[in-house]
Amino acid sequence: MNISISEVTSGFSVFGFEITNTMIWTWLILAILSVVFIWLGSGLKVKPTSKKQVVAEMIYGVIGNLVESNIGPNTKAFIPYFTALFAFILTANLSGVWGLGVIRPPTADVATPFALALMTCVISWYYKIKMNGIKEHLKGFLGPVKFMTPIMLPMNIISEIANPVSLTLRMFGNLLGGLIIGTLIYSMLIGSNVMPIWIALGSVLLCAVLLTKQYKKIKELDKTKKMMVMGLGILCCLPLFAMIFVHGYFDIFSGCLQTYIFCLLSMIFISP
Amino acid sequence: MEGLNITGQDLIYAASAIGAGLAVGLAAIGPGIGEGFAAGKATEAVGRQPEAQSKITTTMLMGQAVSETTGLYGLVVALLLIFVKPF
Repeated sequence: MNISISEVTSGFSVFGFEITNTMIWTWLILAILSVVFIWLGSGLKVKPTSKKQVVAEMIYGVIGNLVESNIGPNTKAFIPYFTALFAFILTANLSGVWGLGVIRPPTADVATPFALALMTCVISWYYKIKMNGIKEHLKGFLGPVKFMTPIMLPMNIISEIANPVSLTLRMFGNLLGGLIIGTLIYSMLIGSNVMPIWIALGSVLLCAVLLTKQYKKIKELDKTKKMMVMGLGILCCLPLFAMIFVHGYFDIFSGCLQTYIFCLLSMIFISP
Repeated sequence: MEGLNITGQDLIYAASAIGAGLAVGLAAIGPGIGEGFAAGKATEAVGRQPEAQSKITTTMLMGQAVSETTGLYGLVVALLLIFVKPF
């Protein structure tokens, strides 16, 4: 098997725009999420009668609590944005669990996290200007005391730029690092032609041992021999367990954590 | 030694590989120490208040993921050196 790190490739172009696989997966995820959320939000009643309305209210409540505790009171307008952000990033990060190169997670392309971070950035500027007025907002860059201005102004501008950059690189680095390490482990375990044979042998051995428990005909094998065969089977199947660990850590754990952190830092960044 | 013909481009690739390794390795020192510190403090906090374990764990993981960013900058630099080949 020849395993290579999946890349952002462009299959075709429409009106001069290159359509990459990232864009295709992004649109697919957006379409699925749109259908799901339109279905969740349709036919709402004052007294919930269906299960789906309870689920919808639960999602609204969780995100609403998070927004209210991080941005401030009377910030209901942010709940749709953060629900969409949360759902999209979570789905995109978890889409890597299908294995090698089946779906390349859209968030492992630097463009997607940068777009999301830029959106947060623009919203935060708009919200801060709306809350304080443009004069106060610009005055905030100069620092509290007048003679500190030559030092404070460049530092404030740099910190304003550093926020979206750090948001971008955090998610991009985590996802791409996970993708590359996963690919390396895959190529180490099943890259050679020998390894699939070993895995097949291990599976056969494990199945044989497990079957002897059900069919008492094959009772000639005593317990120690059975244990030895089972141990051999598990040893041969170790690559499979390693893959489960890789996907569990880099896709599920890291993906969920990065989603939560991206949304939380966006909220902290937006809060005035 | 015949056939050993190293061009300038080869030297640049070799230096890029060494640089990528150094970037990840050196950038991993800081977050490693910092995250270990955070985990140690969280363990202390759980020992003092076992009933607040879930909240402490969440806070610790969040802080660790934020401090991991500095290490990820090094990783991004290494990836650029290896895959994008800017020189």
